[in-house]
Amino acid sequence: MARFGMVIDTKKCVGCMDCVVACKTENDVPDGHCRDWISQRLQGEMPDLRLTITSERCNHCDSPPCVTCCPTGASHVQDFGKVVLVDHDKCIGCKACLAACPYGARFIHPDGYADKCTFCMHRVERGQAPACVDVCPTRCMHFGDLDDPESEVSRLIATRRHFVLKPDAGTRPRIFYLE
Amino acid sequence: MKQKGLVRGPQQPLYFEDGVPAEFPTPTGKIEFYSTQLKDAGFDPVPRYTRPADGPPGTFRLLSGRAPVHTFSRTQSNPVLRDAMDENEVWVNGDVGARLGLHSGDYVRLRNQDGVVSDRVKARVTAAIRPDCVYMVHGFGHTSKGLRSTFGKGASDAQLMTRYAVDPLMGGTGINVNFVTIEQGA
Repeated sequence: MARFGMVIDTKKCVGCMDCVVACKTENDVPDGHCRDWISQRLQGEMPDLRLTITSERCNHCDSPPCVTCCPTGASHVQDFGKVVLVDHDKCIGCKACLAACPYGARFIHPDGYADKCTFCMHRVERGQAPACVDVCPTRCMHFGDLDDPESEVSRLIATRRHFVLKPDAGTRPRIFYLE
Repeated sequence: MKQKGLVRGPQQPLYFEDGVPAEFPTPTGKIEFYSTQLKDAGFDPVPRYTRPADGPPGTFRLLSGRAPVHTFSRTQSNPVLRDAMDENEVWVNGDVGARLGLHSGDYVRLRNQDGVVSDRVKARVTAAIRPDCVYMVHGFGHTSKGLRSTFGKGASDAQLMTRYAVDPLMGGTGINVNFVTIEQGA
């Protein structure tokens, strides 16, 4: 059984926000909201500066606090790919998951339910990559099965130095950033 | 033609032919790092760095550049791109910001050496810029009220570029030769 994850090469990412635009278009994300976004972290002092750009979204954590805190079972881990999803019909918009998510990955859709990245499951089920991965002009994003040691994502994690966001939150996120 | 819809002619080499030694239209027929043509024309045969003139004391060199989100000044009212970036910011060095009491998010105006004052623009106080320069992304500060979603957002760098420099060697235009002061409380 697959366990989907993402690997993003921060050395290649230029922060163009193409992933953000692609996601909004693909998933009809309402104005003023987004399911993925760009963060920039500047370290050092002029002239020795180091800028790390990260394309961020729901980390589809192995230990997802948004699922355990959900009172209705709307937030759940899907069997296929172990992806964290929200059942819109079960969601009552209580925002417990918004508070629980250490990554700020969720928002309340104007229609009243919690919304977030789905890893573009509707595309993945058709054999396509998520929209953000597909459009990236620098090809810095990779999507695949973390449980398959032969997959591209597994090989990248095995061979490159990498980090995850907020490891101390204990959520075991499944988006890995290469440095 | 009717059957295929497309007929390809023989492909011409774009620059150089495979297997044929490349020749350049220079006196030596090679790429010249030391150019006798430039020397004969009265220029440095090997290009030399010339330090640009400093601005008046107390002013900042205005640098301009692009954001990957927007294309020139054409896309600022596109709803999706506007959501990603709806106004530009003027980058100010952190030490300068501390001296002026300026914080990221404060609105300022820029006044250039010829008295041109920009629209109000948000400051971004950052270590990512030198203390003698300020930087802003091109394409904002639209003046047409008809562009309802972007009118009044950010400031125009072009408006502040009342001067430009011309490279005596190849005629290129240098636009980062304007100097501004920061007017707070905009």
